[in-house]
Amino acid sequence: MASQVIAESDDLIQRGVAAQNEYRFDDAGLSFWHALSCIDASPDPKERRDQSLQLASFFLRVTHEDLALLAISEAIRLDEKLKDHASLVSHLIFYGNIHMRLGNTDEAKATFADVIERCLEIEDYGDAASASTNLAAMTANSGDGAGAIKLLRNSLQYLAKKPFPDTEFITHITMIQTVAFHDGDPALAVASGIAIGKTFSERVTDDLRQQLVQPLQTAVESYLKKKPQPNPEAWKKKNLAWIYSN
Amino acid sequence: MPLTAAGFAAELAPLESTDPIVQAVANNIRAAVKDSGVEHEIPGLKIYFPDFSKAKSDATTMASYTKGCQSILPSIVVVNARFLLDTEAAIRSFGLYDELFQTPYLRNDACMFGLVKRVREDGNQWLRKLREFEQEKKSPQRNEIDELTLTILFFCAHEIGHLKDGVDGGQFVALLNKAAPFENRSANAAVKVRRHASEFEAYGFDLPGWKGAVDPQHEVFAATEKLRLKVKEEDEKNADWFKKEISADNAAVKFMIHYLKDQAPMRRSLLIRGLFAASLYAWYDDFLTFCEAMNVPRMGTKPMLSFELMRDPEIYIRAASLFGDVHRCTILRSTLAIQEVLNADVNDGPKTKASDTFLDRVSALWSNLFGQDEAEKDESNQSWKVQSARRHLLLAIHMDTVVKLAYVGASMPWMKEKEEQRGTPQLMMIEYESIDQSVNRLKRMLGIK
Repeated sequence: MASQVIAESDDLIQRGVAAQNEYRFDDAGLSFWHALSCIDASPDPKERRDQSLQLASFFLRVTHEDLALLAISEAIRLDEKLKDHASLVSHLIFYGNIHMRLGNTDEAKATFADVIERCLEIEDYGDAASASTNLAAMTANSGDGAGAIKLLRNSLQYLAKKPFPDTEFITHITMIQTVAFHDGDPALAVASGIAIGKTFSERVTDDLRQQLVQPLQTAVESYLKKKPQPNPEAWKKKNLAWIYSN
Repeated sequence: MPLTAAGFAAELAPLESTDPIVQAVANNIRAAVKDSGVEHEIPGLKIYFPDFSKAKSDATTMASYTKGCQSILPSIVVVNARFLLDTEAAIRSFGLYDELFQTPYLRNDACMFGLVKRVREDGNQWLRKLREFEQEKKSPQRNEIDELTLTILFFCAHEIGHLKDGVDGGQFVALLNKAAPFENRSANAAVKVRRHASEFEAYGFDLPGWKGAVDPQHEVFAATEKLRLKVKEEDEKNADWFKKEISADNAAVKFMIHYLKDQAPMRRSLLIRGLFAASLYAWYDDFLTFCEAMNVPRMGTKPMLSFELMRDPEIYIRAASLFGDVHRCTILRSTLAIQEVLNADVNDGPKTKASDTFLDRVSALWSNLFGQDEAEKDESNQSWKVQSARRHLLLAIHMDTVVKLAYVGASMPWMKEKEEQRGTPQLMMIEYESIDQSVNRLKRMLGIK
């Protein structure tokens, strides 16, 4: 049963929502802030951590990113206090994702690098892959294609040890895009394209396919020049039907 | 009996703030002032950072009390620690975002008011969380204390400028006093805002169609001039104070240029970030006080100043309070300070015409600064320049409300004369830009969707 502090926090959230619905973002922000600060009064660190986490997701949804950052940071501090390493890692990824969304690239990169290190120490390969893929995307955006591809290859290695389909799907997509934008090895993009066709074809939406067709076809042409196939068209249809079919 | 320097020391030293950040900033500032050699001009210069909440009696009755910063002749500068902490809260809040356009406070006026309300109502707790957040950050960058130091150093340099000019009781900021009544004397209001409008015009902040307010040959100007003669003595006193404020601002800019001369260009960006956050926050603090006191209604997220001023033009008289008594507009002084500090970096100065608007000059300055570095291609250097330019331009664009209030307010006596001649009131609606409108204007200017 929720404590009185949590009930008070929830009540303040409701008041904030009412204010936000009337476009009173100032009063909403104030209520939301009180909803976060009042939980300091709870003597139970686990309760404080859980409420902070819930609030962080909520604040992000209602576009009070400053409060979301403070709330998730509080949850991370409490994870450390509780020595809850599994939660800590996933909350750090959440924290890094908020920074990534806000364009705070230095902090996001430093966070993902920290997560990879922590995860490898405890052999948590799923989260290591997730952080490595996110870091790769940011590294590619800042112009370091080789660094990004290295991180993506690391992600795929981690995923081979601990399968995590959501991350694997994103990693393959990022690999195709990074190879295209940064003149990477086309074999890597082709391998990712084949993996998507084999395992994730159901997840490929029309929009995503549109985005990937050109970079992947370009990679395939380069790849086939280096590794010619007796019947290229048949090879394409066999291995990359999701790209070459109408 | 007035206090001596020793008397002020006895009054202020025991109140010195024990907050660790205030102490760190105070130490940095004292060291910078010492290095500047200004103590040769002002022997025995002392800078105090009192926490007036520790005073045994009502602090506001103390001779040294100030809400912001002030100079006390011959050699004392006082920075209210509360003011420093509120500035820190503003700087840290804006500092959560590297990219200006991702800053949620800039989404609309209500979001800016939200930040002000949070600092007003729960400033210490908000600041504590922001400081904890900073400590837990993963990246090695820690700029907040530097940013705060440079910003407060600029304010202190203004006070030092007053001391050099022999001005007692000069203050950097005149924050709108909630408890005090707003301006209600039409002559004083019109004359005051005309002084501001004239200054805006001189810097290239004009308002097409309203230039008569600042043109001595125009009948609009003449109508206000008639009123000025009624309050001539007070106006001359205020005009003299205004000049002293300008002189102190110029001294502050010179101080900062000298201080930053041999430092990494990145340090200028910290000053720009700090001045941006502090001045935008200060403006919205005053604007919120004004809107609350005048019961200005909202439409969506925007205070409907336009409708209120159309419904009751007398509010223009009250709005003159937003300009303080004798101070220049806070956003203007920050914008000018940034411009001057950066001008010192441009070897041959921006190539602009006298007829250019302020925004043209700011754009030219930044083009020049970016042009200088084309060969260097230093990514982090370019990044701070992009972010600094956006902040500088946004401040210049967001002068919109104060510029309109000044020009239109200075034209009110003429409009009143016309209404009396005609026998019917004139309905007039002026659109005042909210922060999101200013941000959108900046994005359009930069070609950002």
